[in-house]
Amino acid sequence: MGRKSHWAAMAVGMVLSAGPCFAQIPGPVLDPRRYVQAELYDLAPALRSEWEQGRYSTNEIRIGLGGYHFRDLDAVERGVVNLPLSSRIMFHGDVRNDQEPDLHVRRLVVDLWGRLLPWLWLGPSGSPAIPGSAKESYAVGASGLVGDLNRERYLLARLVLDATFYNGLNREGGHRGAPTFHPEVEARWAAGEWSVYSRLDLTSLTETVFPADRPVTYQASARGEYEFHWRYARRQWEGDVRFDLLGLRDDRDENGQPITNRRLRTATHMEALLRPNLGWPLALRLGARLLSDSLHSRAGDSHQLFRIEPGFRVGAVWEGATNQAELGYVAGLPHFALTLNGVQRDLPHYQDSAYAQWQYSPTRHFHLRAQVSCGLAHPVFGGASLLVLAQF
Amino acid sequence: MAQATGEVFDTLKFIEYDLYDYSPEEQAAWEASRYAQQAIRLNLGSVTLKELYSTEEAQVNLRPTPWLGLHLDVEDFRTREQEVTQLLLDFSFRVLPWLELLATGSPGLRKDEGALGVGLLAASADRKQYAVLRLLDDAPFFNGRNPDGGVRDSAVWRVQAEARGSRGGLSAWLRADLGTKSEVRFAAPAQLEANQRNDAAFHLRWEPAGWARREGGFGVRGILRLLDNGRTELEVRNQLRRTLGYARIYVTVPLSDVFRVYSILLLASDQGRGFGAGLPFTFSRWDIGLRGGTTVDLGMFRLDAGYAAMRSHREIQGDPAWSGLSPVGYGDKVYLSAQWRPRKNIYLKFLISHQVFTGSFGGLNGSLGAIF
Repeated sequence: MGRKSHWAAMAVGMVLSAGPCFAQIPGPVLDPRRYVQAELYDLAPALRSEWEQGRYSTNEIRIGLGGYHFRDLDAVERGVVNLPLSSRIMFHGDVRNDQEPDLHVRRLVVDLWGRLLPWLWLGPSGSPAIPGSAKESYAVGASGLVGDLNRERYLLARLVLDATFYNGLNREGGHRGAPTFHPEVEARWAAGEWSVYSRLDLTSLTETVFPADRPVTYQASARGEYEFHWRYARRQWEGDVRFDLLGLRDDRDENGQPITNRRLRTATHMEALLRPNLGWPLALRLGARLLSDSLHSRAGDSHQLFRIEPGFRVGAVWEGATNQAELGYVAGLPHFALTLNGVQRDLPHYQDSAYAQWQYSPTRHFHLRAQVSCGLAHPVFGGASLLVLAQF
Repeated sequence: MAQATGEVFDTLKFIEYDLYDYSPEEQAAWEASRYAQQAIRLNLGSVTLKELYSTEEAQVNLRPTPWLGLHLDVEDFRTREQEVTQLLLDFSFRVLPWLELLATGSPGLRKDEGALGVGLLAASADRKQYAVLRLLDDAPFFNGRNPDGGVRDSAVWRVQAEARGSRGGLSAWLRADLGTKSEVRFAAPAQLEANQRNDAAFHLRWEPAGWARREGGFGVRGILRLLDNGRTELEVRNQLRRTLGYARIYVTVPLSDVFRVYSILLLASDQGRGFGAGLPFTFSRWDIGLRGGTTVDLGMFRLDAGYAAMRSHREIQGDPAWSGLSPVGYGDKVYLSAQWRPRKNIYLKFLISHQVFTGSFGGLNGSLGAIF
């Protein structure tokens, strides 16, 4: 982030510095540019749909790296393996290593399915630790997949118990009174020109009690994630609607002080790609989005941050056979409502980025994308990103 | 130091490293596939009740156009003396039919991690013989961007090399991952952290013409690992420098299409020195052992049983906590494994072992390997 574009963040920071407890709010939550940048680095709807389609039918890798901060990186590193060991047994592996500046998800889950019916696969599931340091992180469970013949329309249900052997094997002396349930449901349906995809990933409340001589004596965490994507694509136009939700809970007793954190983030996107018949392979991308992020914390003082951010996107896309170039503009109007011990302050902003990107797709299922952007309302280098998406 | 020596003097350590590892035949197939095919290997074994031997690897080789290639390597190794997690991505640009230039990166999740580099790849037409050389600047943006406020006075360079050649039934494979020392200073509290890791592994194998189909052969596999980890805080120095060598000389003789017998000579050395709370210490360990077993090949299913024993000579000076350590230790394991191989180069294996000398349960191991 450049010096001028720090204005908005500084204004927010000055207000926040009025209360020492705001030091606990992760800096990126207060970054007014953050979701403009996230919009840019995200997968285009067509590529997202391709990824969803291949989740249980092919092998995939997706690596996306983007940065505009000096310290932090938006990183998405995911891989999927679907390996038929025989006509009746299939190995499925799913690895995810995502990092937003303040959120990190690292997980490997594998399934070994037997085909009971032409459309039904059932089997054990598990999750080895990453890094593979200790046995305490093992998860074991079971899953089932209902799918059509090529598994491009599917319904997955998985339930694993996270850190199944935690009580007997952890080295910190922690104790959990109840197991951690980690259910997942994922489904996709497609017919002709439309497709619908949805995924639910929940981690139940995990309460851990540690010995009294440790700085943290109690910790409770839970997580919930939901995605929905509806798509309609025909030659003249494409339309997409997406909804994402993330809920987090993290409570602890640290050095005798109870600390609670709750967060709920939602994002709704609507996007269209129009291909008017101009005689050139030109398309127009239009998008609108609404984001909300609410954070409640209590640690001595209590504070509440609510961020709501409408935004839009316009772009012109030149669609060649293997190359695609896009020039566009993304804007967001983040509005922060802060409550510190009952005192409220409101802070509106305007953030934008003009971007240029090039996508190279030498085969139908291999895409490379490079992108660069700059701020216009606060003239500054806006960041760069690289993306690889491959199915094989 | 006490924690390190517990692992250093474990008499079962090198037996487990051999038992839990992939067989020479599986390893040779994987070496040939490194730049030609996709592969996954997951290997999990119990070491102690709370400790795991874990190696998780995946590789992807894609060639969307004749001039552009993509090679991805994911590693998550947890052996007892080190833990390495790495994701390496090569974009390769063909400049000659046998030569490619590499733009290499290790995308870290923070900008102070990761690596950037360049390299060369020379490969045969089927890419089963290759030579790769990479030069990486490890964590090039560390200074000023790491969240702990550490400062590194010099860059850390890594050289990674991997090569395989084969002629007739003879094959040779070498991999080296060498790095300069990383020294990081922290202001508050004042401390200095220094780390260095150098790894090399090789495999020399000969399959006589009549044995290849039945997975027989002779060979030697080895690793050499140099680790140097130290921290100086409040002028108190803690440091451990280790040189670990492990060689396995093996022979697998097919008696028929169903039965094979094998024998492995195990040789290991672990030499270390350093400072514990400012006091100097040294230790050393020399091991020699033998493993023998038989494999019954029933087509899609395979059973394997055998026994391994090791004699360990160890010595430590400067650490009173280990003053009563016996200079000689013995460890052994009898084991049984069952394997399912639905297709060539795809296997699912389960192993259970028992310690005969002590009568204790020896541990479990499960692995999955697939080259496709």
